[in-house]
Amino acid sequence: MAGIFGNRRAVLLIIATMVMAMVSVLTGVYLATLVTEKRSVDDQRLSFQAMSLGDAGLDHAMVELRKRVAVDLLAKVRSHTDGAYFNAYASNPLGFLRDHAYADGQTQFTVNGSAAQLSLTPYNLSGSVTGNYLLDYNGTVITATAPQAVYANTTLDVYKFYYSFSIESAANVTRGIPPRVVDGTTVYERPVSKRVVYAPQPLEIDVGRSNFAKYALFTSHQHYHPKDSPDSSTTVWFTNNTNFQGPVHTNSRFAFSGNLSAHFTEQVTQQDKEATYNNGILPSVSLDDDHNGVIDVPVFDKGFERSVSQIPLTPSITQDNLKTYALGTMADPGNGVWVANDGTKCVGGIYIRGNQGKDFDNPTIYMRVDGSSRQVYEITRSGSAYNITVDTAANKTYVTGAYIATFNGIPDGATHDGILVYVNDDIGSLYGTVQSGTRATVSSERDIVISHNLTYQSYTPSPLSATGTTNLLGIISWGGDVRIGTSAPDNVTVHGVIMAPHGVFGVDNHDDGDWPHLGDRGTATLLGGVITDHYGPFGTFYPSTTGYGRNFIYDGRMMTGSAPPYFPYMNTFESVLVPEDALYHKPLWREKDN
Amino acid sequence: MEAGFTLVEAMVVTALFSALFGVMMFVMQNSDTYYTKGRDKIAVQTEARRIADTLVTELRAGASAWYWNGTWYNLTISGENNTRLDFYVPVFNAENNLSTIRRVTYKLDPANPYRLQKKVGVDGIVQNVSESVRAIDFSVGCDNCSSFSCTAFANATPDCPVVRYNVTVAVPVADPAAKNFTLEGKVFLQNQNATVGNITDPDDPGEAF
Repeated sequence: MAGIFGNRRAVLLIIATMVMAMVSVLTGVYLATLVTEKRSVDDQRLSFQAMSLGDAGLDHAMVELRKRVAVDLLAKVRSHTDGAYFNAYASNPLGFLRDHAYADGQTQFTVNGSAAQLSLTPYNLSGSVTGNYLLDYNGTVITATAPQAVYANTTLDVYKFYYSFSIESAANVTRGIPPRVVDGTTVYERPVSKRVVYAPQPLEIDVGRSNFAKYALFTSHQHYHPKDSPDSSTTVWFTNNTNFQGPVHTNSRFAFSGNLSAHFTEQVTQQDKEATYNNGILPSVSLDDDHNGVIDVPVFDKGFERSVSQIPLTPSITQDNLKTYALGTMADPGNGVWVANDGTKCVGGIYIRGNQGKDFDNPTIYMRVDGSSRQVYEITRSGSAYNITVDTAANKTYVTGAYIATFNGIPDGATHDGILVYVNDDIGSLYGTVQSGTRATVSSERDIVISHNLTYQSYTPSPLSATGTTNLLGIISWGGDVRIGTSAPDNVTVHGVIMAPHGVFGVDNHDDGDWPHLGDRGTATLLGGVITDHYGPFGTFYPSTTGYGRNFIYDGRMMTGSAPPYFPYMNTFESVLVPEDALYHKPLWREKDN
Repeated sequence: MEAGFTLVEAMVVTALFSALFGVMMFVMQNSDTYYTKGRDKIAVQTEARRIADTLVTELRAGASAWYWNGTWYNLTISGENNTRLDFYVPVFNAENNLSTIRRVTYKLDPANPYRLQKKVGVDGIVQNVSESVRAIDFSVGCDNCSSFSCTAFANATPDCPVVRYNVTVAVPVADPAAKNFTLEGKVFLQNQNATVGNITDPDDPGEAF
């Protein structure tokens, strides 16, 4: 047979070729669908990666904003002492953000019209991700606007800046890195992009003078002068029984003993360059260090800074200022118990005047809450008893007892900061309960004796805290001491911030050297802070235990700008976020079209 | 004169051709079967992913609960076998501020159990998300995400603000021989503790749909 049919091998070859071609086509189609499917899955995966990257950009921006406002801005604000400096920004709130919310050497916000913007430099993630991808979130921008005018009170030196901030983050994931080069041209694949946004969120930054109330412990001199021997000086050792949960400062030096020694959860500062360490059985040593080898090792969660500037315990509000706030527009009425008034309404605080240096007319102040949840001040002076009932809801004050009157308004001082009790004498006895809605300061020109428990109506007993409550008490002895008296019970409890700029916070007969002999009185629990000239004695532990042990719990509200009314300020400024956790809540999230 | 094929030769050639043709047909048929299976598999997976994409994009912007004007607007799971999901998404104005919240509902059509439907807000039309759903169910995370057996969040700020979906698709869905493809996924709700203040009334058609 002629032709190809004459060659059987040729026929078989043709058939085999046809079969192979068909199989190849089918295989190709199959592989193409697989590739398409893989591509689809990859796109989905890259989309998720881009979304996560965008979220990373948002989180980065939140952390950055938190740091710039809570740390950098605060540090810059603290360096100023003149209120006029801040008042100058009252018409330029975005400029305030630009000029303060950055660390030295960092990029600042750029103000453009009605918005201030900050672009973030993303972390380089590509190097730490396995695979041939290029990852970035290069469009992360924080935008701040000032929707409300600045509140500026130049009398009180309080400035409130209101902002609204939003964050936008664009993220790209590009596969095929390094890119292909086609005819000498670099060809990147089209990136998978996502754009995510934190919707506008309000932010308030309050600037005002620092308040002494922010300290858990503040002393001008960190040693103890016995009253009966004022020339002697006893070192106060912080041991492992000492725990402070708020800022601690002294204008002298601290002394530490033991390993472990004291524990401080907030920053500790002292003016002296060196601290004293007990050094075991060896003589004590002075070191410019935060520990003494392994012998004396206190724990500082937020550091121990030495050689800081002195903070003068000369408050911006003086004794005379407070007296003026208490009297308001009323002239000094002489000895007695008075609600400062103009005949019909309250014009100041509660003013108590007596004979200084004579104990017989030292007033007793018992704070209690009546059946209508009103704060009642039961004041006894020189045999006369007065009940002053403050009805905040009705905005009225009722006086009964030795004097009867009703006044419009409440005795919240000349500037209405809060209830103010001013005594020009010693306070022979102070105790009772601070009503849950009351913010008050009890002030005396001389000693104040706490004779029984003095507690807030609202607080959390365990762990002891007043966070989230309103009741707040300040106790100020301008020229004397704040003392826990001998009539106070064992395990006495005091809630309030105590200040004695020329004295101590201590315990009467703490060493049991006088009558009555009370021995070991348990633990004195304080919820608040102590700001005093010297460190006061509470008890002894050798040769026998007398007086009280200390259990001082810091009132965390003081860290965030709260302070008892009319409580003295320092000359430096401070900024706080309102609310304090404003930058810790995740704003509203949304995915935005590219 | 040339010699012709013998009968035996002709039969052998025919047999050989038949065998080769049979092999060829066998290969082609198998190829077609595998191709069809592969195509259906891709189709069913694509459909499942499309459903998931639609759901996830909206759900991600939701919250376990929104609180507005004294009322909680919760994410809820209901229906027989937990086939219905209701949740609220934020609606933003041109300034990027929240203007209201809007209810989104996913559920199976009672008239056609293979049809997954969606309705958004009061004015939104009922959309058919898919006609190929053999089953779908939802649940939420509980006990710090150790379990996804809950059908409601424990409180407004749950310890595991994650919604799990489980969707089974078949193409064509009415063919009992069609293979199922099940896709399970979990979605983290990006908006938490969402107390909202100054907004217009929620865009909420209620349970009517």
